[in-house]
Amino acid sequence: MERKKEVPIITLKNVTKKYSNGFLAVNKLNLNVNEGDIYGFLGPNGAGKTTTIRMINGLLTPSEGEIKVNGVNVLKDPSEVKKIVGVLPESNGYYELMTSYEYLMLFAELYNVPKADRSRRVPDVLTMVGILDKKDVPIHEYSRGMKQRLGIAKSIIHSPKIIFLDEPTLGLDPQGQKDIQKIIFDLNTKEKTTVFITSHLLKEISEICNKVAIVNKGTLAEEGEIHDLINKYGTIINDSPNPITLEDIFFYVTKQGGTKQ
Amino acid sequence: MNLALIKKEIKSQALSQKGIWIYLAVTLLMSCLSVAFISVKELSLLAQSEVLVTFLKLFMAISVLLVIILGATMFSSEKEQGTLENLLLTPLSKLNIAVAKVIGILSFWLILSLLALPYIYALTFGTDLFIKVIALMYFVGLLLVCSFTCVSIAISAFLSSTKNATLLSIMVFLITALPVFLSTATKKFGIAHFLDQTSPISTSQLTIKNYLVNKYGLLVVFSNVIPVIFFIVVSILILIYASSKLTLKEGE
Repeated sequence: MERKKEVPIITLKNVTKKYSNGFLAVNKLNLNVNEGDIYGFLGPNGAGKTTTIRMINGLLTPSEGEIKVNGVNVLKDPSEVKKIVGVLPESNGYYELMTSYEYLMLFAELYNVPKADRSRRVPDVLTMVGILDKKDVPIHEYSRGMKQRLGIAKSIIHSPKIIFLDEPTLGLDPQGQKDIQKIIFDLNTKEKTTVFITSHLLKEISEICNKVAIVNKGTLAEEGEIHDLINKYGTIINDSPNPITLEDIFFYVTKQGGTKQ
Repeated sequence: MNLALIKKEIKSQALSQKGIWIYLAVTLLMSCLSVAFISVKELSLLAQSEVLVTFLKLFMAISVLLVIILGATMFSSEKEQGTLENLLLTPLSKLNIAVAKVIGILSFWLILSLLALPYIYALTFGTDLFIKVIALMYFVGLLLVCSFTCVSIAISAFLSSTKNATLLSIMVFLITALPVFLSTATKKFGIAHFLDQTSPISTSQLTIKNYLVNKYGLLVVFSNVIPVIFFIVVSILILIYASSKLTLKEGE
């Protein structure tokens, strides 16, 4: 695979988040996401993935450390960061009585998409996620898969440079998962959007991501290009005659509990 | 100020199916009250100004209770349904989001007040009280409605449960309305007297009575309404503070 020129777009330096109840959700986390990456952010439940995404998006304030998105310090200028990122939260809620067209028009205006562009952009993103024919159907009549597509459409309505997808295929059937993967891939290749994705489906991650980070108990356990990690751990993990997978690496590094400095 | 969000809030509060059912219920209630009041007026059991004072007090109490219930659901229901995160992810300021919600509820109350106009016209028929009653409704009434809207929205910004936010907002209303339930003798001395003089509910009721029944001048009326003005200033400050603290529950 030809390596792209690496331009950092998200950098986290020693980011720590300690909640008011004393729980240490994220501990001295360092991440580097480059422009154009499809970056898989992996970890067991409670590893600090959603907290990290919320800190990068300016929804939570880190207790320590520095986060820069496209060169902008999130702590100093969160609203500037919000303009260039799109997010599909893990437990995404919708205004169920609206149609998807009304919903996207609302968010297009909230994200200050120029009025002249809105009526073109909304059908475009509905086409991209494959629900244009349902644009006048109230959201409460949508299936889970259609809602996830709508959530992705909302997250890209303002043509962000980066999108964060927190468990985008959670609860979807295999066909739904494949469809979402294709949308993510199209976004990355056609719209040149950097994708930051969390998922427990490691096969899916290894199919679509070029780079991954594995976190465990709030700490970075491993980070790197998938093929580099396979080369690195191929010689370490010897308990299987088959070529190692991302799943093998995930279980190995999370069981080791080691941290990458 | 974001027009799209304001339009969305007006649509979901003032022009929603829920809103229409509330309008119907309040209209029915006002119809029953008006028939009852006109009957006692015709029998000369009560002076027309006294009838209007009672009608206006009841309308304001209903208005405040309704805006409290709606206000208490504003942020807490968004938290429960998972829609708040999407709003907070937009470049809009938190105060902007809160102001849109206040406007949504005020538009609901505006429609409610317009529905009250024919009844007020009927009850003031043959007198010069119509303009006075309207002035009281859109001055004292609006101040009270705005204040309690801000307080209940602020409470819903702090709490994650709609039920808890509603209960707490109603408690705040009952505490401010406490002097109304005290006897006249009790209210003459000590702490009860202080509460009666400072409560926005009892002072707004006093304002209505002094203007319509006792026919006091505007100066007295304005001095009566000072606690209500103080209450709205405090309510707005509480809302500004609450919206600045608006966040998703930690670890949610």
